[in-house]
Amino acid sequence: MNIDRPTELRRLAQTLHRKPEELGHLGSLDGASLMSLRTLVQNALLEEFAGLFEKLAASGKLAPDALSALLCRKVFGASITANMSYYVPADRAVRMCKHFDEHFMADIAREQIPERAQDQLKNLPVDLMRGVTRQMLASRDFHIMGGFTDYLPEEKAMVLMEEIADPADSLRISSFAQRKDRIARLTVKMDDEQIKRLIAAAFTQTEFIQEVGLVTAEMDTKNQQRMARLSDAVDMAHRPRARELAQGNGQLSRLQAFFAA
Amino acid sequence: MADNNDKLARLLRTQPAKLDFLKGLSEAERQKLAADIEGARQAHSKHIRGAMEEALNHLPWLLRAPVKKLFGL
Repeated sequence: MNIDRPTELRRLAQTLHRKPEELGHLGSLDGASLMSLRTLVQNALLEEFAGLFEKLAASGKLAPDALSALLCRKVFGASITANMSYYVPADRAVRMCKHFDEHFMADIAREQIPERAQDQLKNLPVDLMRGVTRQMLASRDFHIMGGFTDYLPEEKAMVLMEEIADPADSLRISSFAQRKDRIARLTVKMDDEQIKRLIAAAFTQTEFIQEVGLVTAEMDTKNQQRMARLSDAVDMAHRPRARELAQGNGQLSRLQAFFAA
Repeated sequence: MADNNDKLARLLRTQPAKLDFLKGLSEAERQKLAADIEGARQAHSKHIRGAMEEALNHLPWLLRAPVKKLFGL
């Protein structure tokens, strides 16, 4: 996996409750090192209370799902529920989720570490995730959505993308996702009009152009050529602008088919 | 340098040898990183303890102390 440094810096900054520009002292670390550091920080924070959450999860294992879910909603709250969820078998966690509303599920998701919630993401029905997606879009929790995108099964991600009305929001989410190859596979499944709207939105901001560049760089020759054709259809000035940026950030060689088309 | 590596390892609950990927950082940069992590740890700890206190408030007050003890709070 090609680890994009700015993406990882944004994610680490969120974990440390800092802004990316406040982490200048980590300037010598590459994307992979920042990712290792973020994972260590997240695990250390979780480990501090691991014993407590494990005990809490174990104490409720004989209770019916509906009662456990009620206790989670009315007593424990989203933060404790999210931390307990790592110690609850995925099938039981999914059954309990069916008793939660989308607001509570979104609150839980905001507290979770996506890497640790992979089993739940795999087993949770996509219809339950739709409401969570809408909640997160409304609260502009793009950093959380990006983190989950890395671990969400692709067929579910494809369905949930239908909830994103503003293409700029797709780009904001993508900017927090490390797996640009997955975003690329989801993007190529879009129809031409959807991609043209995405390109039009991207060329409103330099960061978005770079994001589309990172995603396009993960596409094969045929799809890079398709992106080039659609980009020209939106505005012939877009590819020269993208080339300038790609030259500056070292992406030019990975976008050869896009610029040669 | 070794002291700061030890401090970072302690904060990150890992072995100093596993922090080799941070060797490019100067001592001052390690200190800043340690302060960042400590700040995040304190914020997280305050957040979780606050959530637990809130949860315990749902219990009759006589039960709160034994439950706290039971869960090591």
